[in-house]
Order: sequence, then C-alpha cells, then structure tokens
Amino acid sequence: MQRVDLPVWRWINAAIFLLVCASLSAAQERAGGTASVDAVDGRSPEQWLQIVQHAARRLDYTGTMVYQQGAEVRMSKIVHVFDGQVSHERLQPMDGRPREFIRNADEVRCLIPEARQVVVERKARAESFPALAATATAELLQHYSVKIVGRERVGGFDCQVLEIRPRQADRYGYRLWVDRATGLMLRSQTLNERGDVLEQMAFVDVRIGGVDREQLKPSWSTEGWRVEQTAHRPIDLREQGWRLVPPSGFKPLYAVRRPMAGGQALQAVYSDGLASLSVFIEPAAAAAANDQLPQRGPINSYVRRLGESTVTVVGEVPADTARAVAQAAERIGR
Amino acid sequence: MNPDTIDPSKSAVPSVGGRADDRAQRLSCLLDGELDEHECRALIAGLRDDKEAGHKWALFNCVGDAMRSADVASWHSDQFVARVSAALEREPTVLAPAALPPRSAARRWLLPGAGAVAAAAVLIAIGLPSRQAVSPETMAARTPATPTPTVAAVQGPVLIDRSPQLERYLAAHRELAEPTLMPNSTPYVRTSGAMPIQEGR
Repeated sequence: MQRVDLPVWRWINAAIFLLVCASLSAAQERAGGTASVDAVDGRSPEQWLQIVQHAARRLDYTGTMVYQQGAEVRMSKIVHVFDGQVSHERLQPMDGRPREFIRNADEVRCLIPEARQVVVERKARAESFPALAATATAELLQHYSVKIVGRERVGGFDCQVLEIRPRQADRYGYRLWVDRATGLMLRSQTLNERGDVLEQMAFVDVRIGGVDREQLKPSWSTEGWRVEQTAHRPIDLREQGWRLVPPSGFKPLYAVRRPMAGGQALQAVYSDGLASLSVFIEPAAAAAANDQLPQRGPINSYVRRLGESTVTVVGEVPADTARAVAQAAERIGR
Repeated sequence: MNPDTIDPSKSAVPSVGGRADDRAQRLSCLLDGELDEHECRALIAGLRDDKEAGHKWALFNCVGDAMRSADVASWHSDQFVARVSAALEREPTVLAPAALPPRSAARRWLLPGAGAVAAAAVLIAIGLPSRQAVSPETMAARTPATPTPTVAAVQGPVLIDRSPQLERYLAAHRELAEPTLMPNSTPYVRTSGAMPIQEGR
C-alpha cells in the first residue's frame, strides 16, 4: 500500500484529529465525563461506582431532593457547584423551621434566622487521615458486591440501577439510580438485610450543568447576626487513653475534641466508603446506663457506661453493629 | 394526701394561696415521677375535669420540653391535642395484625397511619417509585374518612422519636460524616431538624 505523505494529507489528518478531539471534549463537557452509548453499556459495576463518586463532586447541579424515612417525608432544595478546586453547596430544607446550610469545601455555615445566628462548622482533619474521595473502589468491593440490575427512568432521566449488597450482615445495602449520561445519582435507597427500605432520597426537577453561582447565596443577609464557631481540635485517641475497634473496612476519618451540649467530648468518625459512624466519649452523667437510643431510619445508636465515661456510638449501621463497637471500646494505660 | 384537693367541684373556687400552690406542687411531683400509684390515679382523674389544672399540666410539660429542646417545645399548641385526637378518631381500626401473613415486597412500602397517607400522597404527587404510586392499596389508604374496620398493615415506626439526646449526637455526627456517592450535604438532609451544636449549650 502506497504511503500518502503529501503535505495536504497531513494537513487534513491534523484537521480531522483536532475535530475529533474538540467534539469529544465538548461531549465530555456536556456529559460530565462520559463517552458513547456503547461505552456506557460496557461499564463494569466498579466503573459505575467511580463515575458516581466523581459526578457527585465535580458536576454542577441544582434541584429538589425528597427524603423519606418511615412515615416522614422532607424536601430540600440543593445547589451544587464545583469551581475547579473545591465544591460549594447550598441546602435549603423546605420543612420545619427555616434553616439553610451553606458549604464551602470543608466548612458549613448553618443559618438560624429566628436566632439571627450563624453556626460555623469546620472540619479539622488530622494529617494522617486521607480524604475519603480517595477511597479505592477495590477496597469498597471487599465489603460489598455491586451489580447492575436494570435500567429505569427517574425524574425524566435514563438511569442505570445498581445494587450494592454487603458481604456481611454488619452493614446495610443500597440501591442506586444513576443518570447514564452524567453519572449523577438521582435516587438512592438504604436497605436492611430483609430488603426493607430504611430511607430513600430522590431528586425531582434536577438540572445538571449551567448553574448560576448566585444561587449559592443564602436567602437572608446575615449582617449583624451572631457568628459562632464550633471548634474541633484533632487529637490522638491512644494518647487520650482510648482504643476503639470499628467494624472491618471502616477507616478513621476524624478524631477530635469538640464541644457537645453541656460540655466537651471526644469524637472519632469512621467510614467504609458508604456508611459512617461516630463514637463519642464524654464524662458520664450520674444516671447514665447502657441503652439503645431510638432508631431513626438507618441510624442506630448505643450508649455504654464505661467507668467514669459514657461511650456513645451513632451511625448508619445496624443496631448490633453500633452495640458491638460500643462494647469493644477500651480504656488503655497511657 | 387528701384527694379533696383535686376534687373538680372545688376547682371553681377562686384559688386562694395554699390550695392552688399545693396542687401545682403535686402536678410537678407527678411530672417528676415522685407520686405513688394511688396519688397518680387521683390526680390524673382530676385533670380530666379540671380545666385549670389541665392547663397547668400542659404548661408544666411545655416548660420541661422547652428546657430539653426548643424544637420539641414548638410542638406545643392549643390545637395540637385536638388535632391528634381527631386524627385518631379517623384511623381505621386494626384487626388482629399478628394473624396477618407476611407481606409482599410491594406491601412493605405501605406505611400505616395518617402520616403514611400524607407520605404516600406526597410521593404520588412528585412521582416517586411507580410501584408504590399506583398500587391499589395505596389508593385505598387515601380514602377512609370515617372509621371503617380495615385489616391494616402494622409494621415500622410511625412516630419519629425526637429524643433530644439523640438529636445532639445526630447533629455532631452529620458534621463529620462524609458521604462519597451523594452530595456532601446529604447528612444534613437526613437530620435537618436537629440544631447545630453550639458552644456552651
């Protein structure tokens, strides 16, 4: 075969190459990093998980989210913008007392209009704890199996349905509806071992892309409002004389000393990439006894009296798991 | 203790000094669980007929709740009890729930009670899962306006327990929980009613 090496051919080749690149990147822009239909169909469950993780952080979107837990239904408006570095969010619960939560990266400002007050929550991560976004899907798959179970339409979007089943009964399962074009999760359900839906969230009238940053502004001018900071100071649990044993696959995210209603507490937070749980250690109240607090959808908690302290475990895990974590807490010699 | 003090016929007498104070004191003891069974019965029986004592009882409860949580206290309103009583009147009567066969997956979505009707109505309005939106049971559940004996599905919590103790842990937990697949604010959606933790509260 004769090699075509005329300058004009080279020019045409280069032009075609550029055109393909441009249209590909435009498609990526539109779709938030997705490819052709064939590529979508060929995605493995693991790839889907990565795409969902990525989309939740990197896409701009705005919409109304419905949350259902037992007989309770709540709606919130949400605006999410990624500025190239960090994400910004505004959450407006539409029920109950007026509140607004404005997030910029790791800082959340809680606006309480009736008290003309802003509570600023800032995360203080210890150097040694990695950000969860880096959680490798491979690790997640040690504790869950992921399956593509179908294709359904949600909120007008063509969605892939994923089922995430725990490998042990010490955590919950999930069912996710993911927009095939962008990877944004439009509905999620948390399921117990019998398949009962413990809570579900769904987007209605979601708009992906083209979000005006003005929409991140709170509804109220907070000028003259009282601003209060919740200070978290990173601590080393061992130095504090504590040994905690989270369920397998739960990694430490935070260990801090923080204010709690009426005093200070140590809080350690663990996550397996899907569920998280907190362990609180406080000076024991006189009447404290071992007890389970009321269950709230997927959230279970257990309070344990341990010497002069109370250990309270709260998280999106089954009741037995919360109790086991509380029971495993140990005071160690300094 | 003299049961006379809560005799409804005497409550119309303008409360002069000691008597009213004594009753208030005993209502307070009742709230604190300091009365024995006999005294409780007598006092509660009196509450039924004595409007003034009833009012005081509600007030004391409101004060107690306000001390524990502003959100719980906000539930107190004059019409609240009346509305709950009316809603209970309209509830279908439950017949032998224990004898029911295990429910199918579709029925598991149905929630008992008035709250569930509201939930189902909202879900229908916004077009959440189609299988629950169009299920005939759901449609049936929307209609009962008069008390009719119905074999109702009884499972799952209907009332959301607003334990103030739990609320503060939820508020602290959501600050540091990090969902990876959902928007970061998801934990706030889950617990939007809980007050943020503030220094010195």
